[in-house]
Amino acid sequence: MNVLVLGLVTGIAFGYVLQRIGVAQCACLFNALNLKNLKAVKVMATAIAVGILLLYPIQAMGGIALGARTLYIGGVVVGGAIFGLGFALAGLCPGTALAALGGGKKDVFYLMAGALSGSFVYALVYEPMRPLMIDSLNFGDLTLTQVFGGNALLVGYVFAFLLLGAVFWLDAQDRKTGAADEEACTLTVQKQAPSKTVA
Amino acid sequence: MKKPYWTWWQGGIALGLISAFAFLTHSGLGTSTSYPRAVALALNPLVPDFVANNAYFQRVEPIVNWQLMLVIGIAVGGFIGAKIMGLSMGSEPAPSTLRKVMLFAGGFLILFGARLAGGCTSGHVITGITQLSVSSLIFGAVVFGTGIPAARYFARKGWY
Repeated sequence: MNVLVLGLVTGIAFGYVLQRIGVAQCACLFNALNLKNLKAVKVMATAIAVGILLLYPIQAMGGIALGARTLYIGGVVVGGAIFGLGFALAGLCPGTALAALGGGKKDVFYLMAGALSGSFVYALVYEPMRPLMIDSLNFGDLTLTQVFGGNALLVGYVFAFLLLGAVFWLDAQDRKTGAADEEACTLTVQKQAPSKTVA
Repeated sequence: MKKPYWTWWQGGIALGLISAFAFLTHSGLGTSTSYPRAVALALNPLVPDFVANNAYFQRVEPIVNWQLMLVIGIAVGGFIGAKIMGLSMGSEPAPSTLRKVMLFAGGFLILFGARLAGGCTSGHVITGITQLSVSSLIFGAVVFGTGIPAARYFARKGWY
């Protein structure tokens, strides 16, 4: 298949799934970040575990090389903090915002205007920022397998099962607080209002 | 016909399958590079010299590639999903000025932050952690480490 058509088809499936989960509703993330309903976190962690369980045996048989993201401390930490703040303001990320836009959320146009401006400003400051943020403290494409040594399949499977354990623990917390799955996309953070009893 | 949202485990499995499909057919999922790429594509006919000489647009060239099509597809898929679910589309009340500012600022910060860190929720968190990248684990920890206190502060302020 043509690579552009492949990208489009993968994207349609991706956007459909994001909408069906409910993460294209900003309330889903606001609830998760306020620790009121952790559906968004459980979804992400489950997706990672499923990906690892499927892909690492294929990698072990030589069918695929998964690669890694480059570790450069400054950019990853500062960028992550900036991203986290934006995440809490918007309730959407670059992927879910597009699914929300396709789903007819007109206010996402404001997010898109900000996103394109942020991209443009980044392009302007990339070169002067690069020596400090990206080139220094750069450890290359480091993975947990390299850190712990040993077999990627084994490290991957241990990680995936620990992650699934964490997901079930988070789900137990949601059950304890009465955070129902079907209410994950309805804003519940207002309920906490000015209560001082919440730690 | 109104269909409910998928549960977390249905959604997580579906998302994991798409992530694995993307890895096997092209590369891991990622979206945020396509925003500066769209900027480069829009600016290129207007100010070609600026785009050609900008160090970042030399890395993120003004071309249509797999990820740009993926990003367009997400909007299409989001539309199909909303239709099938029977979600009300475009009928919500106009956002308040505060909400508009939060969306603009939020959009600015998620793209600036994602480009600085080298990925977003899809590229770093889903794809990068699937690769067991140390970088993506740090990114994920910092994102939630900042996002949780920030969101709790905004909730206390009554901004949501």
